Amino acid sequence: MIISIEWLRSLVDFDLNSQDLADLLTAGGTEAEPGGESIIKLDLTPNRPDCMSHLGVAREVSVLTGSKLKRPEINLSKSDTKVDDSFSIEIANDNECPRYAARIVRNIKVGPSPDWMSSRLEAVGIRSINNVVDVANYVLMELGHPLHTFDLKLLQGNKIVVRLANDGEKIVTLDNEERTMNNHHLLICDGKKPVALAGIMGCANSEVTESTTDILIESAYFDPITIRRGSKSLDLATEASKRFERGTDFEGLITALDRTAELLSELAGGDIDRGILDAYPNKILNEKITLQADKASELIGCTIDEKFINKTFSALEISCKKTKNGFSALPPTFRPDLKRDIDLIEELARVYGYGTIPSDFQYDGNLTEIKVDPLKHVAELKRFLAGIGFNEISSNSLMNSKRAALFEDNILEVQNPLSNEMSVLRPSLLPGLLRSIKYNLNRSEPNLALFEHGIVFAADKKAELGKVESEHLTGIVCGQRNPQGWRSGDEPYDLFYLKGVIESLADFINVTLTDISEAKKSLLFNNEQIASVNDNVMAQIGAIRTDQLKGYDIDIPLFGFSINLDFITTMMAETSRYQPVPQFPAIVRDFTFSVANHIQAGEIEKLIKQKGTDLLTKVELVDLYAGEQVSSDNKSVSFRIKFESKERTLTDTEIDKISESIIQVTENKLGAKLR
Amino acid sequence: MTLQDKINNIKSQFADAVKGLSLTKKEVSDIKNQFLGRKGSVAQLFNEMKNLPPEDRSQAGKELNILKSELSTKIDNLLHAAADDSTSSLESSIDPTLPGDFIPVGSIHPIEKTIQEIKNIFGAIGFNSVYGPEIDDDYHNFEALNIPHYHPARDMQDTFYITDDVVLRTHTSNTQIHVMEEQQPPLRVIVPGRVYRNEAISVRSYCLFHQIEGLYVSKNVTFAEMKGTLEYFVKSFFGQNVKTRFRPSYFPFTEPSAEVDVSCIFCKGSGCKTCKQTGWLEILGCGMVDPDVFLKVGYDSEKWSGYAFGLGIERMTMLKYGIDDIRLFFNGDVRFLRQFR
Repeated sequence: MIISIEWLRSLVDFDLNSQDLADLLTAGGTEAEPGGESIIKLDLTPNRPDCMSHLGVAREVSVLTGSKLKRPEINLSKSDTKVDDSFSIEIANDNECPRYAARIVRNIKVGPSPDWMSSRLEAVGIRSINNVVDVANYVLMELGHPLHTFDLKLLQGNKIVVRLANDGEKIVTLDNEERTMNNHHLLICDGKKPVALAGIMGCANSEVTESTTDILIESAYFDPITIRRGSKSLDLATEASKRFERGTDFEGLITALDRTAELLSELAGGDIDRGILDAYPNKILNEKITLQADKASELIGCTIDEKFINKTFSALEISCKKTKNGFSALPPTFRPDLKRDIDLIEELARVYGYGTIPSDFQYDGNLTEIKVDPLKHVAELKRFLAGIGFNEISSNSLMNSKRAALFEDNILEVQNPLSNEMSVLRPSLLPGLLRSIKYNLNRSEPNLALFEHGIVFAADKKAELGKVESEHLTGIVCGQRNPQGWRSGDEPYDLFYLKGVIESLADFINVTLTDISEAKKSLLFNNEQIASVNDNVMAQIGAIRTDQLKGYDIDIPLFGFSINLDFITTMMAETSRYQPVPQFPAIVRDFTFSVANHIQAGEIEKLIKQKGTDLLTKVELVDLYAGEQVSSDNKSVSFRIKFESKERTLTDTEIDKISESIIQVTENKLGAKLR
Repeated sequence: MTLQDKINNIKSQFADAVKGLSLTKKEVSDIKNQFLGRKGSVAQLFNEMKNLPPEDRSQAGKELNILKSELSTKIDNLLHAAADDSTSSLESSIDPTLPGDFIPVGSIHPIEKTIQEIKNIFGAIGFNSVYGPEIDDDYHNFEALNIPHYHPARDMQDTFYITDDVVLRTHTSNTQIHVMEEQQPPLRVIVPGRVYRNEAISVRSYCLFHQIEGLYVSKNVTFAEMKGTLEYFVKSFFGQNVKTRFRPSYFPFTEPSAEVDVSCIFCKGSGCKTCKQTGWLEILGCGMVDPDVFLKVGYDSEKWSGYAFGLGIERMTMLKYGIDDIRLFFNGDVRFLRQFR
C-alpha cells in the first residue's frame, strides 16, 4: 500500500522526512520504506486492515509520536428530499452480510475531479477517472472502507437484495468478464438482476457513466470468510476484497458513507437525500477484554506501568477502565485483531518499543532433558564420505512423473504442481544424483563422486495421510578417481571402488562384513551386490540401470550405492570394546595358486578361512594374473595370510601344518595348484 | 652377560653401523647380512637360547623376535632411502617439482554445514534437535497454528497440496505441534528440515528451502528472554560485532510477534546493495507462543509460556558466504560444492 506524505500530513502533524517516517512506522510494526520524498510504501501484515488507509497510518503516527490525530470533518449539506422509504434493502443472508447501508445523491454532474483530489490519488497510484469514481476511491484511501456507487436509474424494482448466488448463475463484472457463480458467492441484486459481486467488484449493468445523474452509494460490512472464499475461487483480488477479507469497520462504515456523500455533493453538485438506508438486522457486539494488571510486565519481561498502559490505549482508541484486578478494555471496531488480553499485550509491547525491552539471557541447564541428536551419526557418516572424496548434494524433491516412474511404482503426486517437470515427489535419491551427474558432465566435469541424504516418498493408501516418508543415503560415481596420475595407472570409479567404500565404511563403523555377494533379485541396481553383517543388510551397490541412464541422456556406465542408515547409525552408536594389542609376533605367508579361470577368488578365500584355524587373522588377495606365465585356461591368484596367537609365539612347524592343509583342500576341491 | 645386555649390545652396534652415513643399497645389504643374516649376530643369539633353562626360553624368544622385527624395519627403511648405486640413472635424481599423490577430497553441502553449525549453537544452551514430517495434514501445518481455511495469512505461504487435506509443509512449525502433542513442558527444541512453497524458481526463490524452527516452553518465559537468546545466536553465528534489531510483525501462531534484523554484515550497516541501502538484513521471525496454540495442544496457557522462532537456512548461508543465487544450492554443480569442505 502506498501512502502520500502530503495527504498524511493533513491528518496528523509530524516533523519527519520520508526515511525517518518509514523507520518510525517499521519500528512500530508497520513495515515501511520510502519511495522518494513524497510517498512511503507499506508492506502490511494481514492482521492490520486498519492501516490500509491514510487515516489508519496517521493514527499509527499519532500513537508512536504522541501527536494529535486530525480526523476529516464531515459537513453534510441539508437536502429537502427525505430518503425514499419505498426503496428497500433486503438482506437474505445476514451471516454473509451483517450490515448494508446506503445513501442516495441526486442531480449530480459527472465530470473531472479537482486537481487536489486527482493529484492525491495519482500519488498513491490510482488513475483519476471522473468525480464519482474518484470520490469512492478517495474515501477508500482516506478512511479504508470500500464503497460502491450504482447508477440509481439502472437499478430496477426500487430495491437492493443481498443474497447468495445460485450455482451456475452468470454475471458480467466491471472488467467485462463473464463469471460463473457458486452458491457461496454473495451477490448484490436489484429487484430483477445481480448488480454487483459483493465486496469484490460491481457489474457492468449498473455502472456510473457520463450521463448518470442519480447515485446510490453502498457502504456495507461483509463476512471476511465469504469474501475471501469468493475472491480465491474466482482468482479475483481487488482493493475492496483485500479489505473486506481482513475485516472492515462495521460501525465506521457510516462515517465512510457520509464522507462519500459529502464529497460527491461538493464536487459533482448533487443533493443528498436526508437519512440513511441501513439494514443491520443484528447489531455486532464488540467484546470487552479483561487484562490482569501484571500480565503484560510478566510476559514482556520488564515493567509496563499503568500510566503507559492508559496513554497507549487512549492513543489506540481502546477505551479502558481500571478494575479490581487490572483493566477492562473495549477495542475500537476498526481493530478486528484485538480480541484477547495477549493481543493487547502485543500492542503495549510494540508501542513500548521492541528495542527498549531489555535482553535477558539465562540458561538453566537442568531445565530439559538433553537428548542425542538422531542425526548425530549421519553427520559423522557424511564427514567420512566427504573425507574419501564424495561431494554432498541437495536436490529438488519435486520431479517429472515420467522419470520418477523409471525408479519406483506408487509415486506420490502433487495436486497443484508448478510445472510438469515438478509434478511428483521423488521416490528415490537416484534421480537427483543422475540429474547432477548430467549437469556436471555437460560442464566438463567427468570425474564425480556424489551422495545425497534426504527424504524420499511413496504413495500408500493404507498408510497415515496416504504416504510413506523414508530417510535415505545414496551415492553415485562416474569417471576416474585419480585421473592421469604420473605414478599410477587409471583408478576408475567403478563397482570395485564402491565395494571398497563399503568395506572401508564397515571398518570405520567397526563392524566385520560377513558377506558381499550378488543379490538374488536386483532391486535398485543392475548386478546388484548386497553387503551384509550377519543377517543385516548394510549396503547395496551396483550399476545404474540402462533405462534410468537413458532417461537422463547419459551414455556412460555409472555405479551407485545405497546404505542402510538404520543399521549403520545403530552400529555407530555402539561403543566397541577395547581389544588387547597383539603381544606376540605374527607370521605372514604368501600363497600363489594357479586355478582354472572359472574358479572365483571368493571360493578360494572361503576354503582358506575354513582351514586357517583360529590362528588365521587376515586374508588378503594381493595379486591376480593371467598371461604368459600361466596356461591360457588358468589364472594365478596370490593371497597373503596372517597368523597370530594371543597366547604364544607361533612356531614355523605349526604354520607349515596349517599351510599344508590349505594347499590340500584347495587342490582337492578347486583343483588349485600352488605355484 | 645377560640376554638383555647382549640385545642392547647388538642395538648399539647397529646404531654405530648406520650412523651418519648416506648408505648405498650395497652397504645397507651388507649391514643386513651382518645382523640378520643366517650367521648374523641375531641368529647367534637365537642359537644360544638352547643354553637357557627351559622356563626362560619363551620370554627370551619373545624379546629376540622383537629385536629382529625392529632391525628389519629399520633396514627396510634404509633400503628405501638408499641412493641407487648406479649414479648415472635418471631415477636417482629426484625432481621435487613433480606433483604429489593428490587425494581427492569431498565436500559437505553448505546447507548441511549451516544446519550443523546452528544445531551446535543451540545445542550448547540445551535445545534438542528433533525432526518432523515433510508431508503433513492441514491441521498441523495450518489449523493448529491459528491459520484456519480462508484466513488471509494463508496468502503468506503458497502451498503445494497432495490432497485437499494433505500438504507439503510450508514451514517447520508443523513440528512444534507434533512435539507439544507428544511431550509435556518444559521443553526446548529446534527442528531443522526441508519446507516447500509453490513459488516459481528464480535467483531469489526456490520451490523448496530449509528452515530451523525453535521452540521453548516453560514457566515465566518472557519476551526479554527470547531477545537475549536470539542475540546470543546472532553473535555466535555472524560474529560478536553484529547488531540485532527486533521489530513488531505478525505471525498467526505467535503473539507478540517480531521480525529480527541484523546489521548488514557486508557494509557493517552503512548501506549497500545486499541490504538495499537500509543497513539491516532480515534473518528470522519469532514471537511468544500464542495461547490459542497452547489450547490446541492441551497446554494450560495460564501456567506455561514460551517463545518460538524460525529461520531460513538458505538465507543464512547466502549471507554468510556471500552467495547470490539460491539455485546454486540445488543443481549439484561440483564446481560450487567443492568450495565447502
